[in-house]
Amino acid sequence: MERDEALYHRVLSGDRQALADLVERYYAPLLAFLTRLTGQPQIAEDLVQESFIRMLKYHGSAPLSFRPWAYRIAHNLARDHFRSSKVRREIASDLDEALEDDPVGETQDAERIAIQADNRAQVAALLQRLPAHQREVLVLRFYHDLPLEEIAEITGAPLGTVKSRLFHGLLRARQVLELDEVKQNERK
Amino acid sequence: MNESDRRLTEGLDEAQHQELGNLRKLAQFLDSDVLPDPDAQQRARLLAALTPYLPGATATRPPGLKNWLRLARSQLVLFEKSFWLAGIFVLLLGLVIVSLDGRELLPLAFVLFSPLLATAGVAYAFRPETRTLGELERLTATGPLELFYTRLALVLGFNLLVALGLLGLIWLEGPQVALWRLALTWLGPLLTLTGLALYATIRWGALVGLLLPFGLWGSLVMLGVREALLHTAEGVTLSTWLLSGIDSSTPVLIGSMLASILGLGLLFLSGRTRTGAMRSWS
Amino acid sequence: MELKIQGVTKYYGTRAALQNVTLGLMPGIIAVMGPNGSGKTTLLRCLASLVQPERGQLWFDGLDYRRNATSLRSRIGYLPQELDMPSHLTPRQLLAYLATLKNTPMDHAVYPLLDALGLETIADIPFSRLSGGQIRLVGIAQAFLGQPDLLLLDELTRGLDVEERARVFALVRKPAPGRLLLYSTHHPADAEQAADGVIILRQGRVLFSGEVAKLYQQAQTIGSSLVTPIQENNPRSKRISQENDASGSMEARLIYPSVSDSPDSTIGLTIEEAYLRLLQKPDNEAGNRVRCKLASR
Repeated sequence: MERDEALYHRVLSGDRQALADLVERYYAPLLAFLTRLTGQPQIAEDLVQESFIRMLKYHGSAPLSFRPWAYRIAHNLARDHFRSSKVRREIASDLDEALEDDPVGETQDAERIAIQADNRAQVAALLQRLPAHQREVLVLRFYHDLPLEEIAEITGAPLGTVKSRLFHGLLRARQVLELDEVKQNERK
Repeated sequence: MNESDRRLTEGLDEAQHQELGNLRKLAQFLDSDVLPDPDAQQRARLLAALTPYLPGATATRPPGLKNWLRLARSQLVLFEKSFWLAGIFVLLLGLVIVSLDGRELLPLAFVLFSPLLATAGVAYAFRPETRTLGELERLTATGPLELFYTRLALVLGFNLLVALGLLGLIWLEGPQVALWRLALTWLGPLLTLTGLALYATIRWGALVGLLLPFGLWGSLVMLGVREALLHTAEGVTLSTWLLSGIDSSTPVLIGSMLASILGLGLLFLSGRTRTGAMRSWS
Repeated sequence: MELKIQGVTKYYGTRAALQNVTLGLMPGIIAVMGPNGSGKTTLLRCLASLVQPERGQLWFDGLDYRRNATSLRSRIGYLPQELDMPSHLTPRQLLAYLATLKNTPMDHAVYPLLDALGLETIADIPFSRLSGGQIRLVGIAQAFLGQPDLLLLDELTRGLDVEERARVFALVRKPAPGRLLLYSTHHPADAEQAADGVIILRQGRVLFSGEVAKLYQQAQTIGSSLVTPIQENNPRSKRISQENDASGSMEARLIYPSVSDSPDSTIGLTIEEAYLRLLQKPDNEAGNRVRCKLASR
């Protein structure tokens, strides 16, 4: 199979088939990444499109390794989107900041997890309970099976920090899940 | 360690592994979230949205005839109907002259008035009437020089078409003068006056761009007429004298060729002046 | 895609339109405000690369304006303050023409913009027969053509009616990740409509730059306001900012010069009041050398 770097090079030469192939390879994974990162499928679609547009409009030297570069573009766009204070006002509760001081299980969201029937919604809710920097590392590691070195490149954080974020993210996710089970059992 | 556990913890230290303990339930829980892949319709929609940004296909078109024609076609809207009607009017005028007494009068009218049509066209096309549009044109992927010469080519090209029409009429009438000499004699003033009109319009506005070449040409014509009138005393008609000069005089031909070179120089200078003014930063 | 403005100074004759302006802006929406002659238009024209400052430097997305103006221009969308369009052209013709120059296809770019701004009904009417507000909408539409990375909209809402303003702000607020949009306005309320951050200029200098919330905070430290029945003669007040008819009685909104002067029952400032208070700050308090990353953490 043609390497991503060579494929991208053909895309930059105006090869429409190469663009179709690139979309085939990266649309699904980038969409999944952004959906899990943002928790909002519609926003994720917009961000995916914008990510591809950025790749096409890119003016600098070609990336040595395409995959982390592509994920980095998507990651940065999601970050910029959430940095907009307008977006922050529109989000019902700013989970990331609330969670800095909020011990696991003390807010209404833990209850929300317990009553949601849909698996996907439950997982999405759990992921949204994590701070953004932990969430993105966990998603990239678990769902995209990327090595921590590549995740460090994507998020722009040192490897040690990525490890720490993964560790604390897993810890928190496990705690949320256990608490959810306890609440479900109590209801029964 | 099973696959799901590996995907969760690969890369972490042993101590961190131990502290996290058994993550099987978490892994299973996370695994239950299976996002559907985009369907064919979604992929087609994304591809359609991305195609305009494909390098080479749209954003950066390679120079070439196809691109130039596309650019030229897009600029046609900038010319009002009156511009095209003026050219057609001149052609019709030529027809009228032919019907009256074309043999001598038409070549004369062609040399004297056709350059003025091109001059007026250039002053119109490059008038700084709408500064806004000029600024908006700068903020595009199309280079200012490319735009400038395309517009100039449109104006000159249209005038060339009109001129060819008139030359055709002259030829049909049975010319009094060699057509190639007539064409060359016409080209010199055309290029010089057009170049002067363009340069003056860019530097000082459309009014100066019109008055300067018109004034210069008018003065030259008056000098020529005065000279001709001296000879008409010998019984030669004005038009015959002028046409014989075009047909047989080498200085007239050389002068016209030099005027063509001067005109091309002025057009080139206009391009540099225009794009230099547009290039604030580089 | 960061926009960096470093020490930019621009003169028109002997008058400094911009004086040593330094800013760092991240993607988002920024409202640029200030009195007439404060340098808003000059700043936007510098950023559009249409005028060159005498001193200072500009970078967008890491590219220096001095060396890369030609390539940067294709990534900029600009709405000029004055819109002088060829009278015989129609909006559709103008947009089609500019779309061609920008290498953007009509159906992909132009029609959605006509739709979003409610221009379909006037798309084929010559500019000579359109109102100022309608022409402005077309100007806004062409700025958005080709999804530019840097959008500069001068006097965004000039001449627009209520419905037109609503459409414009809906378009401005539409998510566009990675894009930086700056719009200048004379109406502080416009800043609340869409802006993540605000820049206030005065006499060519940056008086304030930051998020809208920070604008309120800073202005609150300067003064407060009180709604009081107008019959009361309150000599301590400095300014009446608005008068409202409320339940049959006239009320005055009074701005106190300092928090300590104001009576107990005070309410927060409106954005207009905050803006006006900041404009009254003495010159030596003006934050000229402000390095502020707006719309970022």
